[in-house]
Parts: sequence; C-alpha cells; structure tokens
Amino acid sequence: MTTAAVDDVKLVVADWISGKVVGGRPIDEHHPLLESGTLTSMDTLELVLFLEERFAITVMDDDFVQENFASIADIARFVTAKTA
Amino acid sequence: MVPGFTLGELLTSAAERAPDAPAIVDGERTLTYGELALWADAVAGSLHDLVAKGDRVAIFMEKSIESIVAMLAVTQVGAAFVNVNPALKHAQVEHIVQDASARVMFVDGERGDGWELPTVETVVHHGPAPGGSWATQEMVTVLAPDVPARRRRSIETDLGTILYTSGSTGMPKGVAFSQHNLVVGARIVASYLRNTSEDRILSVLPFSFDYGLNQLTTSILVGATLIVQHSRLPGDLLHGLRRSRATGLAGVPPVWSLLLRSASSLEAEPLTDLRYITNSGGRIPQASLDALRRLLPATSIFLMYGLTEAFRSTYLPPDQLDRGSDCIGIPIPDTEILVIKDGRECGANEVGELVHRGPTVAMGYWGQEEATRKAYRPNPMASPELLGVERVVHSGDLVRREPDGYLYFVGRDDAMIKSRGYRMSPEEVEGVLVGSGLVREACAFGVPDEELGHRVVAVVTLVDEPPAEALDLIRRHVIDEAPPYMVPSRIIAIEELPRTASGKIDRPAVRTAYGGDVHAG
Repeated sequence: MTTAAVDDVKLVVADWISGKVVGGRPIDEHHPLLESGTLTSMDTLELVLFLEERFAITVMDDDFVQENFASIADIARFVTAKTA
Repeated sequence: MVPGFTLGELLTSAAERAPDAPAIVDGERTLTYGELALWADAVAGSLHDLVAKGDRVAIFMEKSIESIVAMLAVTQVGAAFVNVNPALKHAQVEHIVQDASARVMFVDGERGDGWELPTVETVVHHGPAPGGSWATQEMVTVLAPDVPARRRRSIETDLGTILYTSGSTGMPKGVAFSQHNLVVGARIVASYLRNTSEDRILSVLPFSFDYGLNQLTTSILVGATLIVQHSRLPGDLLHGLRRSRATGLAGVPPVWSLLLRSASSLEAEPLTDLRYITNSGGRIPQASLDALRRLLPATSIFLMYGLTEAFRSTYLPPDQLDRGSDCIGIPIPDTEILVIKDGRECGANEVGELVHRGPTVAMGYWGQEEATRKAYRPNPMASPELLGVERVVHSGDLVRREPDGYLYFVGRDDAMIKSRGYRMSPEEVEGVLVGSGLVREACAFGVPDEELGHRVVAVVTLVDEPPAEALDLIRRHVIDEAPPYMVPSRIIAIEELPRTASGKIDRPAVRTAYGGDVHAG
C-alpha cells in the first residue's frame, strides 16, 4: 500500500465519523476518539460494519481493540494494513 | 471481629480477614485488601480537616483504583460520596455538585479544568491540578502503614452515598442511600449470585450507576477481586475476560451486543471460568439472550431488574430463562414486590404498578420533598397501628404477575427515556437543544429500540433566519454539552409543534407523527 492509500482511508473514515457522529464537524486525525467519548463503543460497532463493507476487509475479534480505533490515524493504519 | 454494618466496616473486615488477597486489579496494577484499606485510611486522613461528618464529596473520575480509594476514603471519614459519571459535561456536573452542595471534589486527568463550580472549595486531584477558583490538594498516593487512623465512626443509618438519576420530568434527582442500603444491597445480591472470595468480577459499568456500584460493594463484602475494565470494544472486553479469568460479569444490554460481536472466538474458545453474567438497566433483546445461552453454556445468566430508588428489586433465576426476556422474575431475597392498581393489590395477570418493599428502599430524593412523597409512600398493606412509618417505592413501571408468582415487565406510561441503561427526562434533552441558541422549542421522546432500550428523537422549531447548517450546529452543541447517551439519534426541524387545547406542546401528537422512521437522518 502506498501513502496515498492511507490518506484515502483517512478521508473516508473522517467523513463517516464527521457525518454520522459529530454533526459535520471536521476532526483532527489524532483526536482521541474513544478517550474523549466522541465515538462510543456502540458507534464502533456501526463503524466496523461500514469499514468491512467499504474496504472488503474482515475485522477479526482480536483486531477490534482500542489501539486500532483510538484515532482516525490509527483506524486508517489498521485498515490499510488489512487491505495490504 | 469487625461488625459489618457499614461499607467502611466491610472493608476493614475484608482487610483483617485476608490482607494479602487481591482486592482491585486495574491494568497492570493489583492492590490487596490490606493495601486498599491503608490507602483509603491515608486519604481519609487528608480529608479529615476538609469535610465534616455527613458532608457530600463529589468524585468525578474515570473508573480506576484511585476512584475506588476515593469512595472508600470518603466513607471512612464519615462523609457520603457522590459519584459523577465521567462522561458528563459541565452543565450536568454543575447540577449534581450544586444540588449535593459538595464542597470537596475528587478529579483525575485535569477534569474540570477552567470550569466554574460554585460550591466546590477544594479539589483533590490525581494527576495535574485543574485550574479554577478552588484550592487544590494532590491525592495522597503513598501507602503509608504508619498513618494515624483518623476515621470518623459511621453507623448504618448514616447517609452513605447519593446517586443521581432522572425521572419522567425535570432535572436529575439524587437518590440518597444509607450505609444500611449499601451493605444490605451487597448482601442480597451476593446471596443469590453466591459470590465468594474466589470470585473475580469484571467491572465494566460506571460507579455512578447503582448497579455498577453494586459490583464493588458485593466484591468487598465477600473479599473477591474486582477487575476494572476500561475499554468496552469487543476485542478488549473479550481479552479482559480471558486475561482476568473473570468469574462474573454484570452488563447492560449494549454490553451484550459488544460481547456477541466476538461470537466466533467465544465458540472456538469458550469462557470456561465465567460462572455467571447478569443483565440489568433494560430488557435484553431475546435474540441476544438466545445467543448468549448458546455461546456460554457453562455460565449462569441472571436477568435482573432494579430501579435506583430501591437499588435492586427482582431477578430471574437462570433455570427460568425459557420464560423469555420480558420476565423480570421474582423478588430479590428479603424483599417483597407488590403489584398495585388504584390502591389495591392486583389479581393474577392484572397489570399494575410495581411497588417495592424491603431494606434496599432508599432514604428518598435528596432535598426533594414533593418528589420523595410521590415515590416513597407508606406501605399500603401495613397495619394502621404502625402509623405509616414504613415506606415503599412506587416505581412507575407497569408489570403483571402470573399465578405462579413470576413477574413480567409491561411498560411505563410516562415520558421517561431510558437509553443504554441511562434514564433521562425529555426536558433534560430539550434544555440542551434550546441552549444551542438555534432552537426555539423542542420536544424530545424515546422510540423503542431493541439494543438501546430507547433511541432519543428530538423534534424542534428553529429560531428566525437560522443558518443553512443549523441542524449540524445543533448536533455539535449537544455533543459538546451532553453525554453521548443524551445525543438524539435524529433531530427533525419543523415549522410549528402541534399544541393541545390549553396551548401546551402536544407530546403524544409529536411522537405519533415523528416517532416512526428513526434510522434516517
């Protein structure tokens, strides 16, 4: 995967979170989504369904952990690694 | 032997019985009962000159070893702890702290930095000191075995804690619990879950919630180990259960959705240590219950029902699960449940209000005489010669009892919203919406949702000449000013809200017109 792909994933994830969760507000890619309560654990269930469909990946049970979902950058890193 | 009438005595007793037994596990840290009792005493010593007997001390912290030490220290100094959900924002915290007139507040992670909380004179902080118009004091972190005990004696009729919860109207009210309520609540639950010192209880719920607090009190009662679980993401939750070899887990319906995401792992490698799970805070979807029964064949599943006003009320024994998830079971030990309609007890299968009688009936709503009189009433079945001294709790929940004694939940006929286990009144949500400055009037209500209990929906009218992205701006405001469970899944703007003949907002009409398609928007 190239850097460009990571950036594409970031945009898609940022767009989903911005639209679904925070009322269209832009979010910094390093903003702590879980720690700040921006993304609830129930939101992550929806987000994972979206990511699985959008990027044709399978999020394994062991993958579904805080370090992979802590920020937009972390999610993009995780998704990119999955598609590689 | 230390008597076990107060939470403080339960702690002292556990520490004397087994000082080296693990009490709390939080990440990589383990604290023994001996260490926990000493640390609580040390912090109590540091509070001695700040708080008087019966004072309320707010604890606005993440669930952690420190927040547990804070609660126990407040208890040992003869004061009452007021746990504030760390997900709350300034407006909700201010309401609670002010209502309880807490002069001392514990915080962590710079929580409350730059806020104004008029009653608070001293902030005890773990981590950086939050800026504000208060004195700050760092939370004592050293375990000092030679700290002179400066406990204040409590008795079981003293105020132990205040837990804030909402009703069908107005702002959250504080439910006042005596030390007796706390201890007897622990004894009752531990008796039917058969908790022992061998148990390792995974704690995923906040301590600001009666049911979440109950895991801590039962654990201390029996000298079990409480494992603090921070992340609820499915992989972390499963990892937490496996790593701690947890024997008990208490959850609200969303917790089961998260656990069941790991169905294939649960199937491949069953949780053999998990002796029981308990659900409360809302009806578990029948499909989730069926899946849990299949995936956790060695685990007893207890469906519980409780209202904060009486701590815990009923439970369904695991061998009765075939009755389905609408069944709330039988009264907890030492408790009687009456089903009342028009002041008399209902016959079999007749729908009436659940009325709770027993030692977990709380002291009432803190400072709210009218609301207390309404919910806490004299026992209608008691002899008049007893002069109406005993009070029972009217729950507002409609139930029916089958001829064999099992109770079934029917519903509520008021406007209370219950989402993800949290209770809120429509006004709380509406107040935050109007606070955005873009909403003229708002009408919020709950729409039934299998997983969440209710989804919050809000219908609003906008101020004159609203900006184009008004709905987005309103949503952002709510996210900034309210906890996640209060954020509407849908905000709908209309021209005028329907009114009743007397000019009030016609809530049933709004609900009928806009309560349908909740997934869009």
